[in-house]
Amino acid sequence: MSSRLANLMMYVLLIAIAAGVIWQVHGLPNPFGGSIGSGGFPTLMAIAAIGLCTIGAIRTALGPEGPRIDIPGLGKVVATILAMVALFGLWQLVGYFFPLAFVFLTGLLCLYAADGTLTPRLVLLNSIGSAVVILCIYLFFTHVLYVRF
Amino acid sequence: MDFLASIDLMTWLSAAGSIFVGLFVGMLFGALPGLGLTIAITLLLPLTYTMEPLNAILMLLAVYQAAEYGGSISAIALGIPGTVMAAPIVQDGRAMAQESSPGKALGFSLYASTLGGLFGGAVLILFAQPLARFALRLGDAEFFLLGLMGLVAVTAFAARDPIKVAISICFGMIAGTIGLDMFTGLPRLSFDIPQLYEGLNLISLVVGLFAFSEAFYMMGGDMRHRYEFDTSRMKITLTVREMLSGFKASTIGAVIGTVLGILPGVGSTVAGWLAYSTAKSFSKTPAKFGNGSGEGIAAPDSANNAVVGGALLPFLTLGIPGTAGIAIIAGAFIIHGITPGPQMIRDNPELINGIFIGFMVTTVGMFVMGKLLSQGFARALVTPNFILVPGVLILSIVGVYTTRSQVFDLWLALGIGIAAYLMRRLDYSVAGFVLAFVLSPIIEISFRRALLISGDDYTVFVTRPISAVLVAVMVVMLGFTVRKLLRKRGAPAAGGAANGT
Repeated sequence: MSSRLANLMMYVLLIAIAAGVIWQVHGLPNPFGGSIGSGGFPTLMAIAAIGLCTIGAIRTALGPEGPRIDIPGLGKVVATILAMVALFGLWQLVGYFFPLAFVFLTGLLCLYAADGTLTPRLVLLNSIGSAVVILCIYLFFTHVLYVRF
Repeated sequence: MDFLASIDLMTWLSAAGSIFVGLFVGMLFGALPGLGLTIAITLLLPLTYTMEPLNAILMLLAVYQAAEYGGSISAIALGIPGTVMAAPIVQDGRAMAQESSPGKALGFSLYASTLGGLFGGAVLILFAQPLARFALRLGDAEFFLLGLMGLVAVTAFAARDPIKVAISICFGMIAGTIGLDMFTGLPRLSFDIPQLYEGLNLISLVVGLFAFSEAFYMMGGDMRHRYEFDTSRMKITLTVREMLSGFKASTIGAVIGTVLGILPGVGSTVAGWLAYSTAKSFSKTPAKFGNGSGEGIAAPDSANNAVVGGALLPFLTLGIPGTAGIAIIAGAFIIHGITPGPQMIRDNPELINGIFIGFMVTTVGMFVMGKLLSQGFARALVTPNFILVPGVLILSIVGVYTTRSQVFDLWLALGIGIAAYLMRRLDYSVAGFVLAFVLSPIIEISFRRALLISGDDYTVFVTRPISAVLVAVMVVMLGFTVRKLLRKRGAPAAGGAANGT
């Protein structure tokens, strides 16, 4: 995708969000009177954002195509986001943070280490490293800071 | 002196421990390319929930100071700045490391950083009380304009597209309004989600904006890449003569750094480059700049650390954070229910004196730690990203959960992280967003209160002399921004892979 198209899409999205903000706060009452009530300030900011996005969109549309936008490491980014979604979801539904965190950490280490050659020795080392980190987190956060996971 | 007598040994020890942790983490994260200052502060911020307010603040200030120096370690050892602020050091630092010794270059960097930090701290201590007394005479209109001026400055001095910076600021302000309206108690933009009634969780926000988005960014490179460099001759050694040769440049850097630190929105990046070029123009050997000049290392490094003390001045006395780092540190104040500003200086002398003394101790501690451990931190540079990224992610997750024990905050941080990653890919300003988020309540409350008191009279923002001066300064900055925009007209809005915040 060209940077021009990506920028235009983002401007449209941001204008939509700003419009959503105005719609959300427009009905808020103003018990103290005056020109700026509860919804006044967010509305002003949203209007400013829409104005700026419009200027940006016009400049972009009139400008050159721009370089192609690449997202290097997209596969790893998506895999990491999915792993985080799985971790949060399972933790919320099932519990057992520490075993889940161990699997999460080992999985990520192996995923990222796969940029090179992933040997069984490296998998073992990653597992041991993860176990040590998770144990340290467990000891510090549950026994020193008294956080209940 | 009464204050010194009133503090017991345990207080001093716990403060010293907090400073030590902050210095260690700051120097380590500052040295590691890709991580840096904001991630270090972000990761330690959740821990401050359980700490005494003074210890929490000192720990984060220590991170700030140490990360500014730590960025120079990788700039000198690898030729890759650990932080954006260390970029002006690369050329001379690397050249000196190759021609003479990395230890000598690190020596120039450390001595200058310490001088800059002490100078910035001295200015902070000398001017905080007078400025706070002055600030007590300011009204809501002036506070509104001061906050707004900080954000206009961010737009004017940003290296990226001013339109995108301004858009980032607008959305940061909108994000800052989420939750209960402090005037009416009405929920705004909270979508009936109880966790949003108190506003966006600051820790979720900064973790998403800085830690998660940076981790996603780091996945773009070779995760197994391991930097290789000669770790011998890293011991910091500087003769008295060499030390003195960098003194003038360090002083220039300290003055520039402090002044630019005081100006909201300018920050270390501008200060470092300006100090470099000014020191060059005042140098007896300008031709040596770029080829391993000690002055070329000393000036920007001194400026970077002087910025910290300078930036604390408007923050502590007016409540206006001028840099993203200070905006995150503001989180520690918010967590402990402390509102920075003239009232805090007046009503909380123990805390403020503790911050002043602790700040100077932090700077000296940075020198000692740098002298003893720079070689060790340099060795940490070989850690590949495939270890760093999962480490940052798991510590961020645990940190966010620690604050309120709610998985909701993690979902929020993830959502913000993905959005920030995409926005950064298109060159929007994450730093502008977080500054606006922190400033949003100050700006909105002063704006609405000024209008309420004046009976909806908008001239209240220009009729008082100070207001008029602030408006004039903003007009000049906006003019500067428009001029910059018109100059860039030929090459507009090219989104790219700018890896800045």
